[in-house]
Amino acid sequence: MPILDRQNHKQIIDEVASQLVRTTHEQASSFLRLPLLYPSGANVVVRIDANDKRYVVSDAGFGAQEADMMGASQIYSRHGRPIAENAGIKFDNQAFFVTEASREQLIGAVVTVAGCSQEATFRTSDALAEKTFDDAKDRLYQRVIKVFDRRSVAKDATLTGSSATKYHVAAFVRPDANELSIVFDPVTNHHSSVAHASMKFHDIARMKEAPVCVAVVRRKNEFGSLLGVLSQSANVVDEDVPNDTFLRFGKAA
Amino acid sequence: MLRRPDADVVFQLEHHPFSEFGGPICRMEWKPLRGHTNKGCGPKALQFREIRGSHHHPFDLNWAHSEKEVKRGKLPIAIPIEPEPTNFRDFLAIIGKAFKIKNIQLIAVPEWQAVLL
Repeated sequence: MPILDRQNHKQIIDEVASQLVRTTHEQASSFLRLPLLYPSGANVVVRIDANDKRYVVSDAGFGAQEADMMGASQIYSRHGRPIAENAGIKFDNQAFFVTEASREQLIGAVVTVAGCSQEATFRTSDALAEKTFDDAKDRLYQRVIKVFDRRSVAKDATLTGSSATKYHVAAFVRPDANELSIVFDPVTNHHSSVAHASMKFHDIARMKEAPVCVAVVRRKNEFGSLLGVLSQSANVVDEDVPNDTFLRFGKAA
Repeated sequence: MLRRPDADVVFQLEHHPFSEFGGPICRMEWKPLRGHTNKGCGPKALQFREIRGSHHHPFDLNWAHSEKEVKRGKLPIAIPIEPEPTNFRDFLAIIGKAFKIKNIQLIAVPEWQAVLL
């Protein structure tokens, strides 16, 4: 037995629909708060200014503000331009905008500007995660060249696994002739990072004269059951282990 | 970007450890035009809550929901600041208490000027 009759139900849905978009009118501009969310949970807002015959529609730089709160303003600027070009609108490194929309184009312009602003922030968020991982690879390389002779260490080396698949690793060490070569690569406790690293290490380990594979992690105890997965294909060490631990991998029997 | 007098002020505390993503760990926003909408996470009473005015993304609530997300700079859960601060000084007082900054009133009131950049 439904709680509400059909008439009440329709009324509630109509109310919800009317409340999904909110308007604010200020002296020079009007704002539409839309039912779209930025990564932080803030709603996407679009500003509309009017002149005699045309409308100017913009995200008022709120997407850029969102990126700024992530510490990723430069990444946002880089991603914004192609997004705007694909959508046929403008971007000035701060705001997405349409300068000359007619009344008939106004709804489409609002939807397009809002969509671009939201997409740029999500791309920024994803790119920031990748950049952080690149930073981790660079830091690991810097650590490795403090332990081994710099001339024996290749940065961001490309290795070909037994399947002929090519992989990038943060550092590849070829010590003395009597010692084993070693691959060092950072791994995070995210499922996809562990899965990708495991595939890479498994394939590299089946190479002829395979190097020792070392997965360098922030804290092993943050991996839970994924540590068991990662350990099947690589030696797993915390990033702050002593230098001797790194050196021992080259001397393993 | 639009600057609006007596509105859209954001304070956030950030933590950037050596080898992690880092970012904000708590945030407070005063009269944001954008508002905030919680997703379906966190305490039941806050799930899907729409907040139109000033709000706080508290560390403890977000940490309890997902330590991993907080370490990546994500603070998806917010609660309203009630009553809403009526001026910048009142908002600073709330920030000072929440962030434990005793001399926060040393911050000058911005020279508000509506500017379109």
